[in-house]
Amino acid sequence: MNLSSSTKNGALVVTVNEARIDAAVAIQFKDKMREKTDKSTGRVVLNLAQVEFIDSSGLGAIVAAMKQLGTNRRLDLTSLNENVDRVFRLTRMDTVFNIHDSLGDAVGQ
Amino acid sequence: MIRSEVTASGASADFCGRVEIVVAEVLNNVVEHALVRGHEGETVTVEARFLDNGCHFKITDTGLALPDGKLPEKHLPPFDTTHRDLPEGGFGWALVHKLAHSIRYSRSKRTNQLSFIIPFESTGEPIVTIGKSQNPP
Repeated sequence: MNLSSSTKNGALVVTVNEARIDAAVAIQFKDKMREKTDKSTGRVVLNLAQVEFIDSSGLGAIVAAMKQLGTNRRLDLTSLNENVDRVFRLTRMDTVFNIHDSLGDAVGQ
Repeated sequence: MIRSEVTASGASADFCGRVEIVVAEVLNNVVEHALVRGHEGETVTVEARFLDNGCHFKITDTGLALPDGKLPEKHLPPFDTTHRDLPEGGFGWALVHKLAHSIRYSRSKRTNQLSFIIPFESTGEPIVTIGKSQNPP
């Protein structure tokens, strides 16, 4: 599970460099998110532009990643493709996250 | 493999995406719950037939039966809850129920059989969006 991170406009942007977040990698994803976000404070933007598919386990791992940030840090999402967006909508998890169309929108640039 | 065959049939990207998530959820469930360690040699088969109203799937496995011998509920886990209690699972069968119809489960001769239909056209799950059209003319 390859994740990369950078700071933009005060937000930590974590980019998923994988095509899938599914049952096979869900736990790895959650652990890598903890590694990437542990050393900073403040808002996190998860960039899903390269992700073509998530299943219910991948969705659960994204929710878990948000919960492990605690109540004082936000996890926002950006650049969901049609398949990924569908899973968030159908499970109503689109009401739990702030979802941005583009990374520029997400970091206010 | 299933994805490449469905894509090659000339079906829409939307249809292929719906097939992929439903089949993935069903097979994950089989692998995680029906097939148990120490019982090697169980079989799982996936059959798909394209008919007028959609793709008809039949998935069989020789693993354990579904709990109580019944299809799991279609309810979503509660999402209108505190941060701490947000669900991290329980979405799988809800997704299957939302994207497939005519879902039937039976068990005989130590074999589970699940059949369902995925329509070619999206069934139009009521969606409220702001400033974005889901079905452009």
